[in-house]
Amino acid sequence: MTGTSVPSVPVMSDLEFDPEVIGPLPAGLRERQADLAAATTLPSPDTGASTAATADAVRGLSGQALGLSGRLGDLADAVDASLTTYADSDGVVERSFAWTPGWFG
Amino acid sequence: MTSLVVDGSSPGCRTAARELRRLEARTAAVAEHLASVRTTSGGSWRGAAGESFRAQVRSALVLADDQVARLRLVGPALRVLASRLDGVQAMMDEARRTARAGGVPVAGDALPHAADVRPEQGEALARATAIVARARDREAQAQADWLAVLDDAFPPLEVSRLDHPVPAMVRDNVRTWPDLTGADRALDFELPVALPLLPPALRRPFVGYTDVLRPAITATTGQIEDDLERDDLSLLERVGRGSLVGATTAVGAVGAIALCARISATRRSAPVCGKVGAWVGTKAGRKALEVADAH
Repeated sequence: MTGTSVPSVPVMSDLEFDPEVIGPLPAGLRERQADLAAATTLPSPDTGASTAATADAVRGLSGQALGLSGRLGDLADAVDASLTTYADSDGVVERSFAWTPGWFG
Repeated sequence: MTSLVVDGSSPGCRTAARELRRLEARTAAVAEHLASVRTTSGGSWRGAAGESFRAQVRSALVLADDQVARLRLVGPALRVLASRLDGVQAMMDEARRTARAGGVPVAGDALPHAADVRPEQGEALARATAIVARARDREAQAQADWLAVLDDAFPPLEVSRLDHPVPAMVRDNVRTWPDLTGADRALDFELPVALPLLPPALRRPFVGYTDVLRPAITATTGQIEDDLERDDLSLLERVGRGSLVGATTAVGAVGAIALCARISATRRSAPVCGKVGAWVGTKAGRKALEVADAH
């Protein structure tokens, strides 16, 4: 499966990118992932009669933040996998490489 | 005895509010970064992989924006609750001073019964008790307002039918799932566009819907990925094995959520129950495959 070419990028049907631009993306994503993960340990305050509901909410917020943090890692992994595929390729990349399990989110 | 104790810790609420503010700032930074990544990749990554990547970035961005909105609701409200608890505490202190000024003996954190004070202390006790009553009203209102904020932040899913369509990206990816046998053809099936009607008991806990579908898909693809190392399986066997683990994961998640609902867990607990159930379901599915492999 071959397709159109991009200037300065080898012919690739499903993986056409500029590695100089895409290459740095995983590092940025992982940096934000680490920042976010470091802020997900939230204290559950004693709010009186509503303490149980507050604890549920705090758990929910913390869980969502962890989930988002995981998504950032998945995205970084996916880009890394594509970069590896690109580096190992001879310029033509099969469609199957466009699919990465982690991208289902 | 009339208690002068105020439930809740305002310093604890302020500490938690500060942490929520910190999380909000970092989540907002994530959203900003994702928007930048989407723009950057749009100009430098074409083809199906680029589109898939940007679809996932968009999805994560929605999640981040949603999270920021929620944190902006909950964090400041928690700070307001702390101030209101302080206000209630100040009223309780005033009630104590009023009682003592009238000669009422105040032992510990309670006003005595009217029957336990001398007649000349009765008026001061009545004034103090009235202050406590007003304080309790304010405390109740503060709690109700806080719970209303939590309800706004985590709205219940009022649906009679879980008709949220299967995300188009999932359908498209499955439709064009790479043929793992190497043959040049795509799988000829599609996912249903809607999930089936749910029994009423499951509607409310299904606020954790994404905690069912997502782990099921992840388990399915994870199993297929694991099976890539084996060369003794046909394509249908690979899809079947993945689907089995996905199905047990979904059943585990739904079962756990339903169980949590039965034991009166709140809807906010549903995602946690779903995660635990999904984990158990995945383990069960994989165990079943191990048993089948052994035979």
